[in-house]
Amino acid sequence: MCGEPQEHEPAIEVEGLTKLYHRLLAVDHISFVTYRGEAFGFLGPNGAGKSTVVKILTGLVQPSEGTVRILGRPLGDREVRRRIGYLPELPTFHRWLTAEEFLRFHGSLYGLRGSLLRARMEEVLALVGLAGRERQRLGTFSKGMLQRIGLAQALLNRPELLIIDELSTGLDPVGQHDLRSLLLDLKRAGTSIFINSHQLPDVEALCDRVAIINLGRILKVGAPEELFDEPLLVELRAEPLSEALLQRLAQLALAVERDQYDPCRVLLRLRSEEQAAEVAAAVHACGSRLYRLAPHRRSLEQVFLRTIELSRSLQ
Amino acid sequence: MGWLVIARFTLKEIVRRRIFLAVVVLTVLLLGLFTLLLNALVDNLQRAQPENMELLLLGIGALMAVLASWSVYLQSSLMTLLLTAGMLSGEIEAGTLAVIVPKPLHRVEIVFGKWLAYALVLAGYTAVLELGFLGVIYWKTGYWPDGMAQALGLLELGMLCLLALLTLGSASLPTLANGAIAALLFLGTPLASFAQVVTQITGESTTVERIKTLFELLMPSDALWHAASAALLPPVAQDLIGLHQVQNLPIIGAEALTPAMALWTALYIVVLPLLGMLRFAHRDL
Repeated sequence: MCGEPQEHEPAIEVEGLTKLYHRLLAVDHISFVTYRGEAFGFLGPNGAGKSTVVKILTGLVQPSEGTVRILGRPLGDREVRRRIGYLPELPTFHRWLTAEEFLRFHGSLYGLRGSLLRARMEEVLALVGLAGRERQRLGTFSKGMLQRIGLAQALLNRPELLIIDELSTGLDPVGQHDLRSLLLDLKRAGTSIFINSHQLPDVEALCDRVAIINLGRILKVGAPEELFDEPLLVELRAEPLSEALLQRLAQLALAVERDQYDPCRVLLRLRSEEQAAEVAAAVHACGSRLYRLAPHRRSLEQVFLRTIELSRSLQ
Repeated sequence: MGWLVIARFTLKEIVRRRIFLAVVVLTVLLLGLFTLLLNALVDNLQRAQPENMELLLLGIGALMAVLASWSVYLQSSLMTLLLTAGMLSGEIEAGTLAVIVPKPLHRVEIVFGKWLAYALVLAGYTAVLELGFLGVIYWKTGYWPDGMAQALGLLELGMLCLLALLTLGSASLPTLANGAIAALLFLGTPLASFAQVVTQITGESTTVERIKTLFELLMPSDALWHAASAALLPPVAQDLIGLHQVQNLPIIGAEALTPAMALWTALYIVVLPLLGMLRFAHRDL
């Protein structure tokens, strides 16, 4: 298996998915496709409907309308479930079990037995950094360790599709880094990943594509870099930033935004990259020194907040 | 065979939970105290050296068999209520089912596996307790009821009725609501029996009969208990306490289970858990 998304083989196909809880429309006719080998991020604020979508994908909640196919089979197909791993948002497991008993139980549910199950248990415990904790009761585990053992049970069957509802809950920065590395390794090995999160760094680090969801609707879908589909934003630092230069820049750019803390810095909104050369020429022509002329990219967080804000203003 | 994994897991869970150990310890204590009580009673009688000692002991044995079995009926029902009110709803509320349901097994298997494990444990508990009490009675008085197997079967059916109701409730309602409904129905049915006794003395009352029938349809365990007590008492003892005239006293009965009630009980035990499975298979978690 290769790590590149296999564009022609869908992992998850969702068409017109709707979920109505009594009178509350939690998911409103959403459609999307994720591909095999791809890491797909689902981003949204609390109450956006993203957990409902995950619960539908994992069979915990029944859809009101729409169709879902996972790994080419209809939702709920037992054979498909053998090929899926799921880590829920809250790692609430049976606290009276030891880590070994917990994995043995979940392995048995996947149909694993005997030496194969033992080998898988050792493998996943090592993967999530819990080797040596087999005999420890889950009741004594920290929140981060519960998250890890939860991920271990999701990996027991070496899933083709891994569905994660919030990854970094309860993890310290080292734990977050370790888990992101582990997921990147799984992705490189060809595992499809669907990650539901409001932790933008997780999504930014892992995902090939991202969907932004709010109020039960998908607002944007695309590769993180494609989500920066706005006019080019360029940061300019020049000294002196004279009135003449500012006037020239105002003629060239769509907008000029001065930095109130740094008198030598402005943000320019340009139509195209070619205009950056004209900006440089204008700086020289006005007798100023050019210190910095670089694209100013919005972080995914800014795009996310801006998208949510826009959708709210349209309500 | 997901149901088997769930059943094994549930058995393990019951054993590992502190309630199981507490129940075992208290049951042994209860049997011990009952043995001491009966021993003291028989010793006192033997010291008094009454006539027909053997017959008297048999009478005491028969009476104690009914009272001890009534205690078994209550304990078994209480255990069923405490252990199974949250069979599914407790796990839904705790969130522990969120990692089990997405696994390759049908939701029906989860309900069936859990139901089976609880049915086995509670049936075992009821049998051990009943045989324990009757064993002590036989040891001290020499009385062994001819209808013991029938009585034990009826006690087990009573437990299965309550389990059936709780399984359906647990698949549909929060734990507290489920427990409260089952407890009210279980406690309400004997009230109908008490009312019937009053009307048996004061005269016929069709309304009371109908209400009692309705209660028995909703929760057949009291009718089953009365039939069990009839199986535990020999006809001569029933005649002595005048049971044949009134048929049922609040705790003791002379009525065997009617075929219609037996059929209803069978349906109750089978259909309610099936409805629970159906409900659980289609509900959101």
